[in-house]
Amino acid sequence: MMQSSREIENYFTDFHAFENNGAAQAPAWLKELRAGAIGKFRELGFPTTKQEDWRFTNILPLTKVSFRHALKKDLPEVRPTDIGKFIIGGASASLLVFVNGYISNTLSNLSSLPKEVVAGSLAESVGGYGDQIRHHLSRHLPLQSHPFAALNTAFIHDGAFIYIPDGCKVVSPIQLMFISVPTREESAVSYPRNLIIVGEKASATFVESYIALSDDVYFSNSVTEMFVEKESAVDFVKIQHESEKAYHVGTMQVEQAGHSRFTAFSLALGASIARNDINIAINGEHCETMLDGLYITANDQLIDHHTFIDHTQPNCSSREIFKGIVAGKSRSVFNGKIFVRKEAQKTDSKQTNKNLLLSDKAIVDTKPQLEIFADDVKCTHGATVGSLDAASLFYVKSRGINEEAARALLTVGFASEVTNYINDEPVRRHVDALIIKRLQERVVNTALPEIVHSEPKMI
Amino acid sequence: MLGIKNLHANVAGKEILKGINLSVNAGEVHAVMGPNGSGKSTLAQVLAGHPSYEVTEGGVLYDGKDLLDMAPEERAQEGVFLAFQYPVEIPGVSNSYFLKAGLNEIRKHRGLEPLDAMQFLKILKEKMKLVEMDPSFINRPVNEGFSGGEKKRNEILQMAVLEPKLAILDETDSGLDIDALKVVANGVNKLKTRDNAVIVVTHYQRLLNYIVPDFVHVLVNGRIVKSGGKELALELEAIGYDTVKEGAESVAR
Repeated sequence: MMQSSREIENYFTDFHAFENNGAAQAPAWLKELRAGAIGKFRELGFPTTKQEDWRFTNILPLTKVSFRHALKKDLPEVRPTDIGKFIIGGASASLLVFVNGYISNTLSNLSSLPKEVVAGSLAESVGGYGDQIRHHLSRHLPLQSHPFAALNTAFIHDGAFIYIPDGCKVVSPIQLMFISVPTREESAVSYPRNLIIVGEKASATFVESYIALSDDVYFSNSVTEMFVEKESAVDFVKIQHESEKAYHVGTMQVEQAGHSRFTAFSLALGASIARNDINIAINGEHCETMLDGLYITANDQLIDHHTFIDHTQPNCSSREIFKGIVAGKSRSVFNGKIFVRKEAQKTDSKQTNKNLLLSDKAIVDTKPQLEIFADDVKCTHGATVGSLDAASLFYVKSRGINEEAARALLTVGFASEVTNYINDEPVRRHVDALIIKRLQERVVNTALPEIVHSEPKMI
Repeated sequence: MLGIKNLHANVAGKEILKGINLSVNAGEVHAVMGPNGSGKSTLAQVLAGHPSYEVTEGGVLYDGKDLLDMAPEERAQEGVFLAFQYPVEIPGVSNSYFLKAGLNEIRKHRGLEPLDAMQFLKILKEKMKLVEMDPSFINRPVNEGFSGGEKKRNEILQMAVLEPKLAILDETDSGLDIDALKVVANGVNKLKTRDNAVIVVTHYQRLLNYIVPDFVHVLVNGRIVKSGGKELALELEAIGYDTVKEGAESVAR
């Protein structure tokens, strides 16, 4: 699908400027990767609702804005006090901060990380870790089918590069924070690109958050690639809290090796239009995969999650629970595909999508999909769209609590059931607090309690 | 305090209550007994305002007001409390927040100042002692992961905190072992005053050994077929509901 609009030409103009300027120092292999990707994007163009993967997500408003590549030379100053409230764990937290896609070494803090961990800017690491980066970068990314991932790849420059060596256990979460701040007159697009490699028998928790310091129109187009090596354990939490006028397209590509455990949680609150693609390839036996998420949409927002769990090997289990609170005139899309290949015998897979529809003007599109080619598997999936449970509502009201407050309490309960799966307690508390704040600002008109959890569920 | 007159109620188009008459005065304990499917729980739910039940005939006066005209939350604010047979789990919301929210609504309705967190916690801890509940339940989500007995105890804790004028206990004894039953009954007895009333809905006489009723009513097929003193419960235990049922049917014929 070709577009010849002035808007799409911006991206090519930006690319040529980038090629001759910021990207000029890059090694040949990286230049080739970028050139191939921009060619792919030129070929694909922006997706339209005629394509199955974008049927419910009309990105026309995004294509109508003339976004220009955010440049390093235009970076405004961001002070530590601007971002303090977004940091989980205070002054000693391990933190990589990116402003409009570029590393800020002054805001970042890696002093608490074990010495053997490599963490820093991708742009600054290409020199020292070139072979490793070259080996992993874009290895499994489906550029063919995802023009935004191709566009991101064309502009690969900065983002996080993290390597946790074999056997290394990192206890506190490592936070990757992407802050958008207005620069010049045009609306800016940034292309964060993250590469995370967790070595054998290693473990770590990552939080990737997208935050706005103003209520501006901008576009974040990010890609995160994660390699979860043998017998390692990784918890990953993404917080999408962009400006409500912004556009967010995030692609996550994960590969799991044998006997590894990977849990991911996607909290999606912000943006005018947000699209998350999460692809997990389970390429080893005896892996565990937990992929959960919560989206809250209000006003005119549209939040879309497309997930793909690819069981290629036998004896693995996956569990996926996505919940949505959909209010106002907003829309949510969930498309979850579980693919069980012929070799993947004894796969145990569960997928659920539950939506709380709070307004008759809001729209939920949900499509859970199972494609099974093995014959000895245990797989279930399901989706619900509904309102609050009448029996629960009666119970709360029978204690003297009015209708509105009762509905609000049950909405909190609905959300808390899924955040219960976040393993790291400070991260879970942070996520819970964001949810409560969001519900209070956009969805309900009453005071809300802090979320409490019963004993963490065994998963 | 409570006057039920010729109360008829349907659920999903099926008539369950077929003309209940019952008067309850302050200071009294009434037991409503009956076989499964007789309408005992329906009566309890209708009094609390469950939206699935439709009242087709008759009325209920509570403290001189039309009870059926009130929303469930208004009934609670006016002092009606139902201890549920199957308490609902509310994930994410702590027991203490839930109770404080309820109590402050009731206080507001009575023209009292809302309690702050400290004042409320003091009351909550006292009441927890009454039902022998571990303080760790304060910050657990309402009923989530509670055992059957813990849920029932939590219902009585709520009753203790909300201090209703009219408490309706719906099969509070079901699923309780004898020790838990004694704790629950003891809690209810301690909450009993001259100014409030209790309706105990139960299938078995067992609970009535510990919460001694002033009146016992036998509900069969949507009607009260027999009323008497506490000895009626023992009699029922001895002869079984079938005999009473047959009697009732012959009367109906």
